[in-house]
Amino acid sequence: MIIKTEDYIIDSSSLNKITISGSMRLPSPLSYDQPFSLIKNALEESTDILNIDITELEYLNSSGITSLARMIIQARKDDKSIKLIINKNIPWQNKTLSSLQNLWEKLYIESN
Amino acid sequence: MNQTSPNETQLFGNLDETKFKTIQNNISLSFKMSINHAEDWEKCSIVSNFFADYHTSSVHSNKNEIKSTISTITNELIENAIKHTYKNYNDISIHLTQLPNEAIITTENITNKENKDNLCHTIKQLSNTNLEGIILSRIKNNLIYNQKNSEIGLLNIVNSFSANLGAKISPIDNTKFFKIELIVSIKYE
Repeated sequence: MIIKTEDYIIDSSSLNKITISGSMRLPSPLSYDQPFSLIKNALEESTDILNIDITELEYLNSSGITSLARMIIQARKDDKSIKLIINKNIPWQNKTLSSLQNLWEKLYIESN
Repeated sequence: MNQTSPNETQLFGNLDETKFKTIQNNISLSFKMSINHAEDWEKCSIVSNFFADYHTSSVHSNKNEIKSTISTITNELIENAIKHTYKNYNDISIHLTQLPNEAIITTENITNKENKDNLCHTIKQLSNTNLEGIILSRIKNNLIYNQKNSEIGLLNIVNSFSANLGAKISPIDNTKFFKIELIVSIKYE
């Protein structure tokens, strides 16, 4: 499935892989429920490590970071592994996301 | 932090009146925004990106990194101001002060006592050495209590970007409300 808006694209059409690109600055954690339902579904259906590629996600606000963290907490509950593929040249990704590894030992962060 | 009564202006963070006036007297760009939370949310991002573009037009190295950082910080400050503005005071102001290798972003909004007290609590937490732990704790609580707002924006600015954050909180005469001025300084090479 693909969600495409003027600001961002979320593509979960491949098994065990999701790509999020563009800019996500939605008003609250609740407003991420619908777009991030693709991550939740992909997590449920995953047969191996779920790769979440955000290397082309230019911006994600604090509500989005909170919502992404909720997905990681869900993965911990379901004992599912996640690999977050980040872009080291995007400051918020490089500086903010490593702390999320404290939420789940099977969250792996790979930077390109 | 200054110790004052609730009826006096309070300054938080690495900020005194002299520094505050220096910032105010060197503003390069100033906006006043009237925003309907439900309808005009994406304008936060438009203004943040404009501030970042405006500031980095005169920056010659690490331009993309600085632009991204300023846009991220500005957006969090605007979102914070809007979320904590009392409903009868829809206007917020945002200012950019440009100094050599430094950008200072200031937001102003009007809020009630409850929001003011929450802000004071958050600002006090900024001096905690385990800011990352506080952010993760807030994320977990946010999920447990299904809170409306993330409440990690300001903490994240300071923790991730090594930014300096100060605040000036002034009671508004003859009302129960407060003027909040949040000031974030980000230095770069």
